[in-house]
Amino acid sequence: MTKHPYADLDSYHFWSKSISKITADNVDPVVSAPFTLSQSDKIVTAGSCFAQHLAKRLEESGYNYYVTENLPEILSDLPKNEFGYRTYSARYGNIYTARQLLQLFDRAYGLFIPEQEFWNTKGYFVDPWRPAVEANGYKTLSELRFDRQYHLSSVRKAFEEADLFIFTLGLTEAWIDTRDGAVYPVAPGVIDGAFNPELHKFHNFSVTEVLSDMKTFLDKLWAINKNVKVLLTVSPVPLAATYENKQVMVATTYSKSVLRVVAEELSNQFENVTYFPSYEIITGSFNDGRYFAKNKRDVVEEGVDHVMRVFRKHFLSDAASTPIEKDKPLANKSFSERVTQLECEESLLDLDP
Amino acid sequence: MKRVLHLGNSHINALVAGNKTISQPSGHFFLPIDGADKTISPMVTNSGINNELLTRINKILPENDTGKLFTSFCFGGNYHNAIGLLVNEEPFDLVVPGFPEAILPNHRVIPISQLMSYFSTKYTAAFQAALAINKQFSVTKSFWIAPPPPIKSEVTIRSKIEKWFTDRYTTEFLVNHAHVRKKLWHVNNLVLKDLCDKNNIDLIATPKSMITEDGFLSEAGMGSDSTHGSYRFGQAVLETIDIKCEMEINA
Repeated sequence: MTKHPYADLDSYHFWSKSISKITADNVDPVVSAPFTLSQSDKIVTAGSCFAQHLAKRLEESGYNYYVTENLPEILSDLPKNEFGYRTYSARYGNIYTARQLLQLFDRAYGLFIPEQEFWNTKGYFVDPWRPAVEANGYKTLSELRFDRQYHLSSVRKAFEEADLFIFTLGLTEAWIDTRDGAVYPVAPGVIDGAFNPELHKFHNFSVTEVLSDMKTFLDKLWAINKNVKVLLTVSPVPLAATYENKQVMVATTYSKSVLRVVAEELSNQFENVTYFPSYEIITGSFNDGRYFAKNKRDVVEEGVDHVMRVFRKHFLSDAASTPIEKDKPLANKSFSERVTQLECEESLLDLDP
Repeated sequence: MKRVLHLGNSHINALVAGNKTISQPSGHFFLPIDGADKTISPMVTNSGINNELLTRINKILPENDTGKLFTSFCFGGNYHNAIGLLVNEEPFDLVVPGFPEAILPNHRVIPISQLMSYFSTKYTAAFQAALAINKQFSVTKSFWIAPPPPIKSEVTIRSKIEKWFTDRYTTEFLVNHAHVRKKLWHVNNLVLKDLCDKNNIDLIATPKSMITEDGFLSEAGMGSDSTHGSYRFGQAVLETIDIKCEMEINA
């Protein structure tokens, strides 16, 4: 009998051997990791809300979650996550699209200054490019400008000093300012600002556009930090709302497909880019949907635990460090505890007005 | 006759000293609270006012005096100094509307809302205690005394500085820029005003006689160290409270 080409492949090639016959907790979609992180490596994170999980868990584990924009030292008595500090390496808030990431880089290096400098519809100033970080707004425009300067210097530091940059691709849908092409993290009018159909146009990025934006970003990143490795993930969290004239689940599939393809393309093309399959761990049929909360959208701690277990196994060098999983058994957690607590502006789209 | 019950930390000493210089009986009664005194800390819990604190309050109020009761609080008067009197490892400045001074170069600008959140958090427990005391004693009116403004002169501060501050420095300490200290004090008072307004307490601003033309603590107002008020400062505050009590009684 002729041997077929699949006959000698490792078990991970086969659904039955790597999924069906494995207990859900032990499913591991990572075949090999191109690098491992030491505890001294500076890890910078950015992306959509799901990226916050990685940041939180890495910090708890004793790895060097590198934060360049911290709560001011004199206010250290306040909770460390107050005012959006430490949610990511710098206080940029959620970065949902590749264009937004590229825009952040360009803003940090003075290559792009958006026309829309601020919003002020409630008696205080809001930074349109990170509208959720300063909950009570800025009292003056001058204060906003100074804080923005500090923020962008912190962004530069993060990009220039990172050993690993973890980016979670979140969305393809965005709102663009027609004056200069600036892309908003959340539609004007949701948190602040006023929606103006002449100024604010909806755009759903294509594979070509996202790939191009990411490549441009990577070129720029490596120009200032040639050795930084990049780990890409795709957020498994479905869209809270779509502006396409499509059912939201259909729009979600398009969006995630684009992002997943881009991650694959980049990891195939660049030696220093790796795709980490947290998307597959959370959305895979092997877990019978139990990694999603009752609303079928939020990811529960159990799912994050699985993601981090796999991440730890393949990418972290020191297995003896503080466990990256929570100690508290899941069964003892309340529902609200099980649903991970994240800062997500996008979810505001699905609230009743 | 009025009765004014004063509670506070170290800043109450200026009032005590001031009270000694005015005609007696003044109707002012003082209960200094040492934050380190575990018998009265916390002042209020879910089960109510600390029993020892209640006992001490009852002790200092005259037994058979049925005059209208007022309360005055001066807790946390050094919160702004604790973070701003000396230069921090990460030098900072703040933009305050109405303060035209240029931002110091190479200083991080801290958004005011973050500082307000900080002060608000710091004052929470003291305001809870104040409200519980006001409720327990059915007070006619309640006051909160704004802390003294900062001293402008670095030389004066250095000559009077408390050990608490210098202990926090491993090397030679540096006094923060006067304008930064003044702005911090101002933000502290904005928070106090907001908390007072929300809780029906009258904020006693620093008497004008104790403030220099450019908004710092006058020489007459300076106590024996770098942050507290003098007996004259206390006297001026008590006079302000007396006027307000009088108006309330005659209303």
